[in-house]
Amino acid sequence: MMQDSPSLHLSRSQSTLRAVLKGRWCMENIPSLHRALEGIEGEEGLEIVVKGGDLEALDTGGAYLLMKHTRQWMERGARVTLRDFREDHRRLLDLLTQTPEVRVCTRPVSPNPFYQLGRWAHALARDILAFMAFLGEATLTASSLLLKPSRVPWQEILYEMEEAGSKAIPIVTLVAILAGVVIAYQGALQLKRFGASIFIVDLLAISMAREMAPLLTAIMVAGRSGSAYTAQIGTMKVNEEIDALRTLGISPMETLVIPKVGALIVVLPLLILLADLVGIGGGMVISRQALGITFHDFIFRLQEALPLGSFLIGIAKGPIFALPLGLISCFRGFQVKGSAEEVGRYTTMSVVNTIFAVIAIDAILSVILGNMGL
Amino acid sequence: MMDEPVVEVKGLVTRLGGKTIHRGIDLSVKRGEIYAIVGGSGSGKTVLLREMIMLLEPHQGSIRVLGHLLSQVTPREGKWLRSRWGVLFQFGGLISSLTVAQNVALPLLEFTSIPRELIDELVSIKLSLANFPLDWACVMPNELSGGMKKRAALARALALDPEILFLDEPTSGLDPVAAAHFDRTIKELRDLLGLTVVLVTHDLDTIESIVDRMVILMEGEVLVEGDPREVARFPHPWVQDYFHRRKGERDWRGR
Repeated sequence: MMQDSPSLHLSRSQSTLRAVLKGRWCMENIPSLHRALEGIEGEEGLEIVVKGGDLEALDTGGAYLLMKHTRQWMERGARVTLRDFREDHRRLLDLLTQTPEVRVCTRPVSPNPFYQLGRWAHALARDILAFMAFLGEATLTASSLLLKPSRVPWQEILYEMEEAGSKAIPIVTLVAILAGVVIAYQGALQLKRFGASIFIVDLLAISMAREMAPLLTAIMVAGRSGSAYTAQIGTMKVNEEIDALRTLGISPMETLVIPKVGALIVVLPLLILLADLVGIGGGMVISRQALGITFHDFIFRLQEALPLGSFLIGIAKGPIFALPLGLISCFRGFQVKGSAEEVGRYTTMSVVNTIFAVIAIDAILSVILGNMGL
Repeated sequence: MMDEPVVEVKGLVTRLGGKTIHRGIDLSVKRGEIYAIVGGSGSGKTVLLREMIMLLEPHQGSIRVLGHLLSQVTPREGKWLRSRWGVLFQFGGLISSLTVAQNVALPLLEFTSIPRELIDELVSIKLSLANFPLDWACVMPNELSGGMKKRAALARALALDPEILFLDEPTSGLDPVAAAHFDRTIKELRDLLGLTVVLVTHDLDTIESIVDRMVILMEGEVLVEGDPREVARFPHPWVQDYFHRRKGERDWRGR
């Protein structure tokens, strides 16, 4: 490791400036060399003689710096001559004189907000149109399968049901129990003050069966399976597997999308039913601890408190949420193109979109059903 | 100092996943030469290259690069060594969230304290050295073709003016014209910047046109090392097959 510091020796006599370069004019020394060279003012009529015979090393960084300053001195009217450079150094300098002085921007540029807004709107419109086309294709494929039930990919559907359903049982159970515990505990604190403890059952049963269980389950499935669908299809897109399927005459819609969406439609209501049971069960335990309501009283009250309608509305939300959830996450997967980085980007988008869709649909349903008096 | 080999491998043994990849490899690369590592698929060429650039550690044996024993370098020395070599990965290894220009600027920002405006200009010089069209400098890597990616990656490998350039299959996936052009670029850069080049390749055109010395790996051992013309005469069926293919092609071309 030679670490001789590079240097620039200047001596001036009348209208001649002699600059002797020494040491290593290399990349790592650019900042100090740049400062030293900036000290030279090229003025009209000045003759600058640069001597490079004693240079120990010169790399593109040093050579570029020298040529950059030479150019500046000449622009200010000085005459510059380069002397005594070693053959290889001279060739390097020649090369760098030939390359034009261009600056490519390496800093991230923040585009103007109107441009970004326009881009965002354009992307949104394009996504919506593309999703319409996707929806159309999915509908056509699904209806053609209905006409020919022998072509329905039962095996794939069962596999996806296991992936999205059976394997989600532990986490859905856990989350639902916790939700039931939270609702019961918060409710107990308030109801106790009014002496209306038994209404904890109404509160728990209706909020759980009608809203919490469907919503929480759908969000869990969006995070678990929806993201997996986007990532799986996206990765297949990057690896050209989707193209390969198409050339083999296999419709990706039929083999990938239909089984996933179909499985979700079957599995989500079942998971919601499970969440209802364990959620209310969790609340029941808390009711006994906090309010002293026995299991017997709780279940007796439950039969009156939970109308069949509310329970069925909660279960029916399963397929209603499953359809957009499955379609959006598959659609985002198909949008991936190019690199693996895109897979991550679209997976994020997919999860955000599906959760938003689920909550928005739930809100709309609440308003509609409320107005219908259900 | 000048006569000491730039890269020296002695008694190298590597085991990966229960398989022995290298069973005692010795080779040395001299300063300023273009050195090729050749061998059939699975002969451990790329593994050897990755060991030279400290991405993998061998089980036995030693590797010296620029006089440093790789198994004993301190983190500081390691950082310094990494700034003295540039690596071109087979598929470029460009960071996909940065533009081409930002990719080339990355080592400059990491290892030097050069002012930003100068970095911008240096980046354009490196890109033109690697024959990368400057209008494409602000494009994201995934929008580039394979050949352009390699040129961009070469510019990044050259960013710090390294002493050694490690290339993993530099011409694979390029059309013959682009490959020949890439070979010429590498040779010009070697002549101009005094680089030492170590490359893994299958490409006979590369070997014929730019390589000074080469090694053939076979079943984890060095089959033969030397000048390509000497190696081509080595009496071993694989070597003869490898070089012979080329002769047939040439006869056909001459007709």
